[in-house]
Amino acid sequence: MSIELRDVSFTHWQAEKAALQHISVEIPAGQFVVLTGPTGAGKSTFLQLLNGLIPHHIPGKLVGDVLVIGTNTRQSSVAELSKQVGIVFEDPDTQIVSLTVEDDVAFGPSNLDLPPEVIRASIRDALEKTRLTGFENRNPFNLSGGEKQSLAIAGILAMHPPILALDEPTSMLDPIGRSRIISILKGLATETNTTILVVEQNPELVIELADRVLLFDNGQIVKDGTPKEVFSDVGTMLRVGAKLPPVVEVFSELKNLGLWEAGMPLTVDEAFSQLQKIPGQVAKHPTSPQASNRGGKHGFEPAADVQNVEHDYGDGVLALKNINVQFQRGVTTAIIGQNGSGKSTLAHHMVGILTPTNPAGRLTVDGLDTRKTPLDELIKHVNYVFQNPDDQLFQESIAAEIEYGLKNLGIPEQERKERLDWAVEQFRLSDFIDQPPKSLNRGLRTKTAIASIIAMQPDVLLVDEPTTGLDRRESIEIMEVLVNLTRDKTTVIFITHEMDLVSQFAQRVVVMQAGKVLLEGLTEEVFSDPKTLEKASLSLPDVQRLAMMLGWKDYSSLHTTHELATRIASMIKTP
Amino acid sequence: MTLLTYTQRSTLLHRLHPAAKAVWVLSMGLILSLYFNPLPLAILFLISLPFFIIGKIPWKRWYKPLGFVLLLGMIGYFVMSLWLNRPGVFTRYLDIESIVLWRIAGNDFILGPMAISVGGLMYTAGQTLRSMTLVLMVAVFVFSTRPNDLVYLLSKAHIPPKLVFIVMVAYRFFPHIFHKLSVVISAQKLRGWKIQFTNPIQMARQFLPITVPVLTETVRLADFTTWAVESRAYGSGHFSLHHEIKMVPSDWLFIIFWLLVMAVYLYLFIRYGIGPL
Repeated sequence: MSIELRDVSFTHWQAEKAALQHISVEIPAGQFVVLTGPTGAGKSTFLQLLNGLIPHHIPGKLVGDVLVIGTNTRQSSVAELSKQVGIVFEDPDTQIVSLTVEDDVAFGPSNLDLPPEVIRASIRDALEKTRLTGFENRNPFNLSGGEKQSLAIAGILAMHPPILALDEPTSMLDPIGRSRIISILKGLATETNTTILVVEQNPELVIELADRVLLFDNGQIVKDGTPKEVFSDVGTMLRVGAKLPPVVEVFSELKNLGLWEAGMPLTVDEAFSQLQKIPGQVAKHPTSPQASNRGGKHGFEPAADVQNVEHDYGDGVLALKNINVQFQRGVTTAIIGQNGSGKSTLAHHMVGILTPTNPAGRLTVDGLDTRKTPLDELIKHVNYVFQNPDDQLFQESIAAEIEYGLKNLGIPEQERKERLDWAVEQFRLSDFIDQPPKSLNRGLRTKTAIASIIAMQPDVLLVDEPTTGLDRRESIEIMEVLVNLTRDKTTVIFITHEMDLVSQFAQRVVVMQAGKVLLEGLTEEVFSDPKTLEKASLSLPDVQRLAMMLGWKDYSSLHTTHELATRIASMIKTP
Repeated sequence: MTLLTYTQRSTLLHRLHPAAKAVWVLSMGLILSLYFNPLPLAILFLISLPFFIIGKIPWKRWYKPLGFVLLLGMIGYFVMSLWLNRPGVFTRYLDIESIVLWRIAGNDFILGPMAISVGGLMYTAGQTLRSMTLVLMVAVFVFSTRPNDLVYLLSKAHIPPKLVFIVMVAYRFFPHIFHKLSVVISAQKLRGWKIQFTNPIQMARQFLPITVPVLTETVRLADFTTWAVESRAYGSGHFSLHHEIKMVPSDWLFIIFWLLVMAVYLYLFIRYGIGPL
């Protein structure tokens, strides 16, 4: 047996509730196991048990035994266990220790005191498996997100551990970066006998590779089975708040309507092949493109106008190249693109943190020239929420955190109180209002960070990857609040890699690639150009991909699983 | 922030054995700890300059942080020098150093007499040169030395793994923390944070929006880096390299040159008392 847990419970130091409760599980060698469930369910804690971070580094009370290839993790150090278990964390930046790709991959084998020729062979092999051959002398910090995560995996592979554990390895990556990691895992699963465990919030990414799925909730494994067994149990998945693969969402809705009797497809390909078999063939019912009803050009009033903007960080490479784009007032716009394509740099220009490095570059937001307007004046009109909420949180309570910006703006006490109540209500934070933000989970911290900015009531709000590290339910809650702000004519601009959220919540989209605006327009227009999206390392969400495979010309006007299910249902009813 | 970051280049300085560069750093460190006199320090700086140049360091990117260090140092040392105007403060150039150019406050002043003096200006120049040479030397060393080579060298020198780890993490930490500092400052500026000159306690409190997030990130990074390196077998035994590093004639020449420079400076210090002011 590769991994064996015997009635394991773990409670973090000073925590009231156990992170893991009475876990007993056996994982044979060579199995590909996906760990899924809502945030805080215990998935990452489970991985930390395997290489001895618990109990050797993470303080708390551990009960039961964890055996890794016959070794009890209590009796072996993390360094020793690393020969058996390689662990890849969510944030690749925290795992890179050297300043060239080659050195970083060499770090693990060097610690094992292997002969130089063996280390060199391990480096070559690991770089080849992770498609980083040719990157040997590159500085890891100049790589894209997908490449950095590939490097983190290469660093582990070079040590040849029989068990590989990955904690949300794709959560920070763009769709193509994700595909890259999934493809690497596919290669490992098929070509080696490595036992692979992957924590993944988006199960559709790894569903095809998985032999087994462990569904976590409240520190327990509530379902253990094949992907078919676990994801078909829609009731349990929804009860625990885990994300269902979009295809499963569509077909469970059809089942509920009594329109689907056959087995539950898990992937887009499976769904497509099953839909083709049904009487009347859904695919023979293409519809003509529909006129969009979301955020049209009609009456286009720009809230932000970006003209000829370029930016050079001083390394001679232009991070922004002659950007010309307008953002419509009162509309939700998504800025999408590959890691490092210039999305955040553009946003930083719009709030005045950065200014164009070319004299011709000009930005006007809410009628104000960002070059000429002092920052303390500009932030009354436009503001920005950084990707990591911890970059701004420092107060002893959520209330103080939200009031901080308002006090700095000189808002009178009564109005401050009203704005605080309003912001708290938007994100339903009233139960936590006196708690220190730092003690709360990522979802609540993100909501606090956004609440503290929306309380300042900017006319233009930019939010950088608001859903990173959050589960589906939390992501939807945040996006709904942001979209609701546009009712009061607030212009909302969000940066994301989550294409399904773009499809569902953005009225307009700006696609960036290598510092340029590649494509811009209504969401439907942009999504109807998958080839250009691919150039920007982006891909269509599953809903639209399935609709496109079915030959529906208006596939880009379908935004949610419900809309797709409704369309399929109407086709089935009228063959 | 590009200071204190290793950068892959093909230069003589990059190719030097890390032990040779360590000898350079230690020799310079010893001289800088003994010398306060600006003239020999200026000569030492000029001797070092060609090595900085052959390392092809990115002057364009470094001039801002280096300029900042230089300016900060000059202002700080100049302010300190205002009190160095009484006879007996200096040990070598007694006759010229207490020459007062402009008296600012007399003996009755609460903080003591303040004046711009020749000795004070020499002190400012010497200390500024020391700081600049030290910062530049450390920056060039880090810029041109692979972290893995340094880990190997320190392991070979039987430095305890925990100390080696601190060096390694410092390599990794500085660029990340400097970047984080700039992000946090931007994030708080967008919430209206700014520094207002008031009493020292209030001033210190004004930095909380910056220090709390940066310290939190520092602790988080320290935790994750510890986990990450131990998860890659760090500390399980000896450290080996995937490439061979051997001492070649240019390394020996480099070492001999700097040992000679150190010997000359030590001789002048011991024999003629050159060094202190």
